[in-house]
Amino acid sequence: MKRAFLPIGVLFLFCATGLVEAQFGLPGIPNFNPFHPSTTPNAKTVKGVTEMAKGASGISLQDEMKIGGAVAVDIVARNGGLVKDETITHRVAIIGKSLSYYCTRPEVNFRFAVLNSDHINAYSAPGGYVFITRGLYDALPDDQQLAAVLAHEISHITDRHALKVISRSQFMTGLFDAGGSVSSVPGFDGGVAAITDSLFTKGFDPSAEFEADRDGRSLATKVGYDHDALLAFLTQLYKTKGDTKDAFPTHPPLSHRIERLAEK
Amino acid sequence: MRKFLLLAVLLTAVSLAAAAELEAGHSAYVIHDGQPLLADKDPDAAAVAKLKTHHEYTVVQISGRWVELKAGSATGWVYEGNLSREEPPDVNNSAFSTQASPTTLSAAARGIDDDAKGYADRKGEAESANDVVWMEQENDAISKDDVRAYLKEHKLGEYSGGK
Repeated sequence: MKRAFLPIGVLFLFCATGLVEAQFGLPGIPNFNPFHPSTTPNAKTVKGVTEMAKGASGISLQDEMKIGGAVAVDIVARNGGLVKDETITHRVAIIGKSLSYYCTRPEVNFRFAVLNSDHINAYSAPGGYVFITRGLYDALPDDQQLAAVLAHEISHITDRHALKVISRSQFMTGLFDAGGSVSSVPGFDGGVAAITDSLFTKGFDPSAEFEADRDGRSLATKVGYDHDALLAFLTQLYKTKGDTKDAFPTHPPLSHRIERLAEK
Repeated sequence: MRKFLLLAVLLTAVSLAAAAELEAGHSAYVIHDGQPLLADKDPDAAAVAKLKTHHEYTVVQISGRWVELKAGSATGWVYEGNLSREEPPDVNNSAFSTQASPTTLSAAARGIDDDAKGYADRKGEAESANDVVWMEQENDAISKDDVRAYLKEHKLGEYSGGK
């Protein structure tokens, strides 16, 4: 009976460790084989993993807002400021809020704006800040495709992709004091730099972008926008830009995203 | 070893439960405090009760995108987008909460704070910080009622007719 149970237990163990890593974005324990005694994690390793998990899932909304506010400042600074047109901003914001009204993080106050840049790109920062460039805004033919792009960015925030970047770097330890204020300026600035480096240079992991495509489409569809609007926009963009870095330069190639979205 | 396996089984069960969809007989939570429990599958139907966040309600049945809930002695309908299978975290901080407590009012409602502005000063990006404040003001001028009016006008969300 015990022998019969063991393979089932092993299967559950395999599934559970995979799910934990997927949920929290943990890097895992290097060279850890749960079935080999020599690689069984010692107390120190387990403690380290616990702290990383806390870093990934235990960032308060207040701390997230602090980090996100600073990241938002950097995004604006690197993209020529905002387009301070109330009509344009209201259109983007009301469509964005129609999506975030039904999103999985109702505690977040999502805010939307257009960056004064001709490039075709979009960004999100922790705490609910969503930006699209003027170049992207002008390339979007209708509300359906604008909603599709905004839903992708909202999903980066609901899926906590940026926060996972900094939790992996473990910079969060001791960053805020008991009152919630920044207690380590170098640590805070380093964490913000880690996120902006991902946003502007390396990009998120391709898996995070594909996840945001999938979850964003799910959100847009749930609200009643066109299920295939993102696929249609990326396909049209691909016809003019191909897989160059002229559009969404820090994202996976357009052809890869189209291929994933086209899978039924 | 046995404890380790038990923990693994438990973690798996919790993860699978969290990923589950709304289902008859299971529990559900509302994501907006004061969510009306409606007499019919229609956003303009009469409210038979007001639902609270952090309260667990039982799913009676699902019809299209509408979910019938049991709340005490009352039953009624809620659009699926206003429900969560898991208890939403920190809902008192909801951007649209009308009943946020003074103590939780609210990290989300505030704009960038002194720490973020300090970061902007250190980076020489004070003007960009002002832009972010402008963005927050423009967005925060849009109320929950404005969003619901937009949804209704464009037949979105619960106004989509369950399509």
